[in-house]
Amino acid sequence: MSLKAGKFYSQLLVCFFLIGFNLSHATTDRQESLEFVYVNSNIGEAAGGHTALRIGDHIFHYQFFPNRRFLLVRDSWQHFFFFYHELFNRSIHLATLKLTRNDYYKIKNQFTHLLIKQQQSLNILKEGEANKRLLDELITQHHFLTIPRLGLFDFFDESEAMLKLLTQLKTHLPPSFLNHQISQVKKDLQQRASSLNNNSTEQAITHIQRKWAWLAALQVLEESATLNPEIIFYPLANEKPLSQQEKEVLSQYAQQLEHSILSLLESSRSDKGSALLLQMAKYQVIILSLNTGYLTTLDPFPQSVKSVSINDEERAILERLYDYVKNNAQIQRQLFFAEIFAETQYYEIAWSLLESSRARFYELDQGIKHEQVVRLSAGTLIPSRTGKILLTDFPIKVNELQSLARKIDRQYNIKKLKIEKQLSYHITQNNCATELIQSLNSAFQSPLEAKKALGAWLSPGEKISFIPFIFYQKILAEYYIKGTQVIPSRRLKNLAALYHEQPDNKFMIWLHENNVLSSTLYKVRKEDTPFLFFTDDQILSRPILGVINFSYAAIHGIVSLFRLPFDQGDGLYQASRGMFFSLPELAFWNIRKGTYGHTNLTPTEASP
Amino acid sequence: MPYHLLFSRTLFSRTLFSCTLFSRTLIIALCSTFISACSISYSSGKSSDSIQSIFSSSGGSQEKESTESASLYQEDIMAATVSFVKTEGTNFDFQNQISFIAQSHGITDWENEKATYIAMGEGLHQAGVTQDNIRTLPYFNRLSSSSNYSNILQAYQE
Repeated sequence: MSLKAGKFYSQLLVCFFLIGFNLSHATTDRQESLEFVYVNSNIGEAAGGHTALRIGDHIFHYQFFPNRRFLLVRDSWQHFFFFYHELFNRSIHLATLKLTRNDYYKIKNQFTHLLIKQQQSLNILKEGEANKRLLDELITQHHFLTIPRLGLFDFFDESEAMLKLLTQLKTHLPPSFLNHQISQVKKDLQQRASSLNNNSTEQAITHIQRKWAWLAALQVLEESATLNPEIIFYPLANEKPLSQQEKEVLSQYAQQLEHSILSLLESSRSDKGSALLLQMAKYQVIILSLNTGYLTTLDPFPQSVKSVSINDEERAILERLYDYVKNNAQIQRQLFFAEIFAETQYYEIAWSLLESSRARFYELDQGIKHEQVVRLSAGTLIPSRTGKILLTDFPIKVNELQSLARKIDRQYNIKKLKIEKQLSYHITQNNCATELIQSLNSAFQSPLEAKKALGAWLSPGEKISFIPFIFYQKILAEYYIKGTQVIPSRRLKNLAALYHEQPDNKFMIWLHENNVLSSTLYKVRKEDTPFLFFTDDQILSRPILGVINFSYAAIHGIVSLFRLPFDQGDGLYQASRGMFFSLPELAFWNIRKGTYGHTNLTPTEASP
Repeated sequence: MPYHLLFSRTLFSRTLFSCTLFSRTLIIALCSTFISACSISYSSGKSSDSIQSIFSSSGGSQEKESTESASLYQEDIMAATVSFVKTEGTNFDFQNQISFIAQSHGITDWENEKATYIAMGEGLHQAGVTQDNIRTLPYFNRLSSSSNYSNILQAYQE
């Protein structure tokens, strides 16, 4: 070999080595991963499909809320899976994107940041509403003011537990601390009242609210007000008494609450009044539990909570849910009492979960047994019953307040419009796909940086990628996707299991299961549109079956015309939807798959 | 077969294929556009759906809820701290935000939760604040003399 050729080959070898090294380095550098989620179409919500991002055990996705807000939501993967797979009967497609640790945390933190920023906007509106209510009350009522959480107490009786607590606190606080604090806050309120005018800011009004809450909390402590009996959830039927160990845990939590109350008294938090009211109520209910030997908790449902009268269908749902909700309440109880053994104790969180789960079970239990109205509220429940405080030494200049109220109202409306525009939904410009990609892109400083991390820079909605299915295909085509997974819909998964059990009988199984009349895997529901044949697992025969489905729905429509005076047009509406959702089948496309109701309600069974 | 006939057949089949593909794409696009309304919150539908959603709302593994919530709480506090630094927020706004986040996770007395300060420390680190500058920031300037400040610094350094 000549020297030149040898030099060339050795240079080539070095190049290959370097490329190989870089590739392997790049691969090993991408230690983390997240998943793009595409949920395929079905009738009902998100009929065109839905997109989400799975980061660890959580899903970030955009959802439409009834108050016309389109919000980023963080959900547990299991909760998401339960609804989309188990109930809505949709297939879930997952595309894994490998990332460097740095990029992974960049994206995760950005989505969390967007969630917080969204919450900030909603908080601005909430505070604005509270300010308007305060001004309205001052103008119209003159003598009383509504204070959140004050309704947890009853001033007509004294609490022994609070008397003991007060004695205990006085050993740690300066002499006459309470009296001094009360007179200080009254002076402060007088000053703030006299300076309230048209130039006052929203923050000034918020401070007044919080000062009143602080005064209320101090008065509760000074007068050792007892708990309002209406907000106590006494022991449930057949609930077992507290064991010795459980009493020790409660005693420890009571001590923690004493410490918390003491530190709130000295805190500089502007909202300490509200926090102090709740901690005192919790303290009393814990002492009540210790005194009675049975677990007692507070009613955490908000006063403005949605209540539902139970009809037959809802009773059936509640009865099916009974064991699950009861079981959950028991588990949360066990978890709270096991908190003492945890490396890091989160008593407050564990108590809140226990309280919420117990309240929901109580509600369900009463709803079924006594056919009562059932209160419904999602998310974390925190006791917040409002009460009234007497406005003393708080001079009100009604004219000034009216002028201020008009100004605050205008400012609030402007903010509300702006925020609602930011949180609005648009079918092509602001939907789950466009917002997801927009949010993802915002994790990076530049398109180049995003391209390096993800494999491409995708613009929201480009080339009809606002359609979730198209969006997912673009992700697969252009991002560094390292693997995909398809979780078939509930019906298809069960069908596959049947085929597996009886491999020699596939045709008969298919014949049996391909229509709603003889299927064992699906029961006709009135929530679903009328159709005869499933077309999600067959392509070639879709147009023919689509014609049959269309005709079937049309016949339903004709029959529904006669039922029009009796069903307010529900039947006709469903029939027209049935015809509409049969149309894609004529073009070899499938949307409708049938859905499931409350037949399987155990989320733990829904884990993939 | 004569070339021009073959060409015609090919052209015809291509045209037919294109039309079929076009009409299919059109129908799919129309249907999908009409119905691409993204997901509606599970708990906001009709009452039977609400009942279903709300009573099964924990969804995830029940045994993990307390620690999972604590972990999410820390993530949220961290994100709020980063946001506070980047937007040069005020002490009032920051404390407000912390209170709202804490409440959403069932925490009332967040000042007595060590996790709050650990998350703040991590957030400050993430936001690129130098250690010396921490005590110059609103809220943190008042905290610098308290024992919680050491929790912040420890988390910041880790």
